[in-house]
Amino acid sequence: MIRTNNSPSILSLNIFIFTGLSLLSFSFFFFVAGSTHTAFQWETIWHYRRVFWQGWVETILIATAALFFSILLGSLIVMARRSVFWCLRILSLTFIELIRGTPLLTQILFFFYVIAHGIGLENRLIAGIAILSLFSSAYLSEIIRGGIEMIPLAQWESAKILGLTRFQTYRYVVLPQVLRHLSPALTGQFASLIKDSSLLSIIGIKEFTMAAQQVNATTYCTLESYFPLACGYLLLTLPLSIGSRRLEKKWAL
Amino acid sequence: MGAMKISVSHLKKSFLADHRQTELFNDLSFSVEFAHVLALIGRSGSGKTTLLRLLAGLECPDEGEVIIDEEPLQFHSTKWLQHYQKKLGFVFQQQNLFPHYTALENVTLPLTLVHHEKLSTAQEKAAAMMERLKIFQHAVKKPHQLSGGEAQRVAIARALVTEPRFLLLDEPTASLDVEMKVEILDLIAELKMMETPILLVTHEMGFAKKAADQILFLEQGSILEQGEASSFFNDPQHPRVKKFLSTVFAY
Repeated sequence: MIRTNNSPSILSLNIFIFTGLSLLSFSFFFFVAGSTHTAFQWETIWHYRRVFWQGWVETILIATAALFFSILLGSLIVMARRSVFWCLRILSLTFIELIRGTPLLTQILFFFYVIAHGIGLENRLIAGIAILSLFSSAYLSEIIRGGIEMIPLAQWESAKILGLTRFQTYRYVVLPQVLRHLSPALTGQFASLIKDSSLLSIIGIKEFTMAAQQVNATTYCTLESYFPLACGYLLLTLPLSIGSRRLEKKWAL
Repeated sequence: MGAMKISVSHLKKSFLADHRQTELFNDLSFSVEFAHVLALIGRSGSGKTTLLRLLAGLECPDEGEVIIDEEPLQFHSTKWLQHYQKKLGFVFQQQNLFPHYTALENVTLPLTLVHHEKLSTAQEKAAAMMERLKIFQHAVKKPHQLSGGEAQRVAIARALVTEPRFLLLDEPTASLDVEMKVEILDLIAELKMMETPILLVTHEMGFAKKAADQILFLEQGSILEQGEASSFFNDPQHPRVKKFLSTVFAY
């Protein structure tokens, strides 16, 4: 727990530092923007708002679907990792190491041009969601497994001796605690997932980053094209962080 | 309900400790019948806790048989064990309350989830049990807001609320300070009046002497002496038990 000191001197120091740093960042931004010697053409970008909007919605769609499937797949991988069958344990570990050890860009290219083409999956959107889900599930599974292993053995035994089934133990004892402990880590992973979806532009999925790239290519307004991009991603990740912090507080012991 | 019969025959149990197989029980056999309190005593590492856990089906023996109330424990059947464990109450050394639920929710949980009672009935029963164990004033507190003694009371309430056939307590006072120890021991002595037979592992000899009606003395994995509490404490037969008792009652 961070202690907050609310004495007047500390408060004024806080305000001083905050204002100073804000001023510094703004002047730096305007200095950089000014040194490009171009006049901003926001009205040009405004014409392309539909492209941005469509890309943004597509990104939300991809991220939400990938989130859903990665939680599902991640939980299955956790079960495999904790299975009594060693073949499942080795398989799941191999999968996790492969995914975590290679760049997402490589995985996207390999999955789309080798595997998806091999099995005749031509729908880029579905292929994109599939690869993102696979990628994220490997990370999620390790986060979830860490959380489950944090629950002391004594609690599993308590649940068992009380007569709870394995499902009830997970549902009522393990998961609520795991979610609370892991909500910062999970939020980070979900935010990563949203941002990582930008890499799908490489296989021609018209998501948010692709939209900005297109607008930039047509208008040559680089800064103006990428500024809304940053804002659009923040608009998705910030509510996630705020929501997670609220939940953390609500679930706090 | 009445008296409880436990019969253990040719029990073998070994553990893997520090990469070495260590034998704890080698051919342990005994049989005991008690109505109120059976105290399992002995030095640390004598196997008391393991024996209690075997009786609860939390450990599986390598060989041998355990019969409780004429029924042999089926250690290899998960389903049978689940059914069996529903009928017993168990309190661990460290209170194993679920930290994310309040005291009342902890006590209500087994009634709603395992015994499928309606939430309102379950809460009523849980509240009554907590009232009886003088812990109801802490009903809405989370476990970390309770003292060790209070948490242990809640744990006992949770174990008793389902009206188990018998109650197993594994050194229920081990992690408590002196004052709370006395509080919990008083409580157990009170519970004696109930119908539920209690089997407890304890280091509190004074308490065992006062509250138990039967004693099992365990050393190095075998029963050195067993019998009525009065004769055990006043007239121990085995020289090692005599030495043990003279040491613990020295002060």
